[in-house]
Amino acid sequence: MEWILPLDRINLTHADTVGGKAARLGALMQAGFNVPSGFVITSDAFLRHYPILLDEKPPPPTLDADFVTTLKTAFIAHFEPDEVVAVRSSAIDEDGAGISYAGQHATYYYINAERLTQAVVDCWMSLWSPAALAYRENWDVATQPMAVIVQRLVKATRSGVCFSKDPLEPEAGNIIIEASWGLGAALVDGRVQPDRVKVDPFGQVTVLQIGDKQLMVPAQLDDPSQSRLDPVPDHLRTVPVLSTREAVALHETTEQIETLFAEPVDVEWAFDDEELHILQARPITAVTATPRDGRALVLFKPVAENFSEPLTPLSVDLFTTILPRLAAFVGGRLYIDFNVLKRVLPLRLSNTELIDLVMLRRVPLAPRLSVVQLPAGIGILLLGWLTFGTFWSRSSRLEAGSLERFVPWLSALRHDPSLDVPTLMKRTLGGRFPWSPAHQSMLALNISAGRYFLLIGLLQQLLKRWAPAFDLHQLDDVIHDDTDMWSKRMVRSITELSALAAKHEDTRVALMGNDAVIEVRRLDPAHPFVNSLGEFISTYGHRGARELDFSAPRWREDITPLLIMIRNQMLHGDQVNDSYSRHLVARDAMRTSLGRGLKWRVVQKLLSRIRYYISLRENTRHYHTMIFDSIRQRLLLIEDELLHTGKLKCAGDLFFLTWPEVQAASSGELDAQAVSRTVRERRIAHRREARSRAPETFNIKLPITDAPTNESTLRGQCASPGTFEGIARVILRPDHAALLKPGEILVAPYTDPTWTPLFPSLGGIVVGLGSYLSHAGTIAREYRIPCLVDVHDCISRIRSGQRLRLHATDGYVELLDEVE
Amino acid sequence: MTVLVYLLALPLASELTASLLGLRDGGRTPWRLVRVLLVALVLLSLIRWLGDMATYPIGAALATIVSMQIIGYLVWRFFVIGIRQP
Repeated sequence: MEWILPLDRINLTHADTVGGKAARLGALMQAGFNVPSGFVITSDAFLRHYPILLDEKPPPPTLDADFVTTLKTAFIAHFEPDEVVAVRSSAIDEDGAGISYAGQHATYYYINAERLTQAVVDCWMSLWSPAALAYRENWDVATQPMAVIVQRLVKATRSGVCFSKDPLEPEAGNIIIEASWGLGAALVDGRVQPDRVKVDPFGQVTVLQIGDKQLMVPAQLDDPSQSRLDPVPDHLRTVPVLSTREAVALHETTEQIETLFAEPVDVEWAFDDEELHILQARPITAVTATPRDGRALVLFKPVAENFSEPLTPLSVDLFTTILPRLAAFVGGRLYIDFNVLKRVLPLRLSNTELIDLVMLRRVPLAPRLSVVQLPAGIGILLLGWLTFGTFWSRSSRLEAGSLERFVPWLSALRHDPSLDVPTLMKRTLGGRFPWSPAHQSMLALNISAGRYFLLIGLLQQLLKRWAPAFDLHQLDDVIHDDTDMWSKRMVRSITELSALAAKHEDTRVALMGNDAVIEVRRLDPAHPFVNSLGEFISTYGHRGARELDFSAPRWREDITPLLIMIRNQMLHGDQVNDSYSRHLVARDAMRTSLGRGLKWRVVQKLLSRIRYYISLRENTRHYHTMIFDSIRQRLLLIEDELLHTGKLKCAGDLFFLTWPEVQAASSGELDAQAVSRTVRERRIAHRREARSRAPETFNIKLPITDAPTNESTLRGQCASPGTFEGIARVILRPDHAALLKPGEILVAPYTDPTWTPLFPSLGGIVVGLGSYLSHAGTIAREYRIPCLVDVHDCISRIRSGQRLRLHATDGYVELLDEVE
Repeated sequence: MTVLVYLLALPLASELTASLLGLRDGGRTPWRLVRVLLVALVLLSLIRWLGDMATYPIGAALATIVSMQIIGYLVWRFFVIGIRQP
């Protein structure tokens, strides 16, 4: 057991006893980088004083006399007697590839020999600071022992951080440097506006933004009790901290460090006059996943709403088995290959137009044929028609009733023990034989029904010519009549359940209680509400939030979100929806503009086709989500077995393995410890992805979109036209919907089917993700609620209680005054 | 003329195949049956009217559609979505 290790004797293999930060500093020192010398107090010393790691803050320890002596001896051996040092945390997990703990634990500057022991204890105790506790709870990680670095304090005149990859443009190959005067503490604490330098892969400075650096942390402090933040002298505030030569030197050093660790790094550096010191190098944990093969990809917007949270690794792995190579998952989200699309379309489209088309922003108004691509394009279209045209034609004439044959077919497959999970995926989702009944290709039917978007584009073109007097904003009102479909039935059933609950005192009390699930379970099984709820679950129990992800529980497994929706509807649901009367008014307006001749009949035919495809899309969705549920149930059986045999630690861990890993764990080829380590890393990576917004493109420049006209305007895509002024309510999850009041504007990061029961009582909807075809758009159009989707910063810019003026038709929302 | 008949017969053969397969899909069966009969009637009339000049291209069109369905399925199954067995 060693309590002290000199930094120059440490390498990456010591990470378990000296922590990630110290291990990397040691590795840098051994590779010849200029790292301030010092030593590390290992985690053995920590464990000597805290043998049991608690999640709650323990009292300060009584220090072992031998440890204090060893510490003093080490100080004398490494530093001058009157030298001041930096005492820095290096928790065992810190600066690993998973999470950074950046700023969570303490660092102390200007520490002399006399104050060293107390600084070390303070550093240890920072493991239980409120911030560190919250951070660990947030990332769901256990308390780990802490090592402490005692290091020569660089008399830094300038310091900063350097990213070997720009977290916002990881594929561009630029490095980003942030620099300020004095020690780096002011910069990393966010107290100073630093200079920002971008250096391209060829070592050329391409961007230099000079910050107004008002504060600095001096390298020397005469009185340790005084404030360590000094004002920057006026003549230095707006002067560049680094010369071009120094920026280029930093670029080279950072590249070398990236090569040493074989991953993107975030380097803390300092200049002591002319000499460059490296203070820290940790993996960049904020860089989002990028495509491994450098392909140009576009986020597939029609299904992006289903990937509001990235899929867990097992879902990605299983979906990859049925995914055409045209598509790819990056960071758990679905993208399609931009260059392949560009090659196969026989049209001359700019990147902007093609991205707009994929994003379902707009159909190009006057596309020009590409002579070069025409033969290939026609060939592909012809081939597509010959091979899939028959299915396309069959899906244009299906009746809702014929889809019901899907249920017994799926049930037989689900209970067939000879089919493993990937085979079940392929049989149910991967496409059937051409002569199989259409209901066996439910997902393909759902995708093919998306053609209504093109038909609406065609109808708009016809109406512009034939009925210039008709207001195209009323077109959605004309399209949405009283056609029955599963999604409408589901909303109606929830409304009926809420009406039933409101009628009985006991159900009202149960739903308003703190734990509605327990209260409802206590009700008499013969209670009419319980009976109706049972019927609802038997019909819609396979649905739930994040249906595409096999890790997400369905309503049958967890009825809490459903009960909250019923309660919400009970409280606010007595709104009268006059959508049908609006439909009649809009239809009359269209008929007046068109007359009753051939044009009206053509338009009627198109409208009927559009309505058919909309209902086909919604109805097939009801069924194909049963496939996802069936696969989840099969996976849960496997998970139960692995939990029972001790090969998995926690419920839900299975979904963070790949299918081959699941098989290896089942057969014993992968031991429980390796599984646990893999699961932990992937859970952290998944949580990080879930918290970052999915990049819309990789390796292509985004089209320049209209910038907001001013700071109080946010732009998006119109999914349901109309204007509305009202109070915003930011809701991050559908089970928080009880906060919504009738007539408010829902502001949400995404919506999926579980949100739709909220819609009828809303005044408007603003969604961060989504497209015209997204669920929010479809349902909002049905209820004629103005809806704006793809509003990037809506969650961060809009506050609950703020008054908004939503101009959905024109694609923007105005942020007005705050009223709460 | 043979090529013209083939090009005309191709969409009719596709429609015939779709309607025949549509019978398996269920729903509106009588109407689908009528469609099958109507398309078959058109094709048979062409054969009766043009003789061998229509028989071969119509046969080829039907074979094209059926074989392309199968080839398309196999290409999709084994090359587009891959044959990876995880």
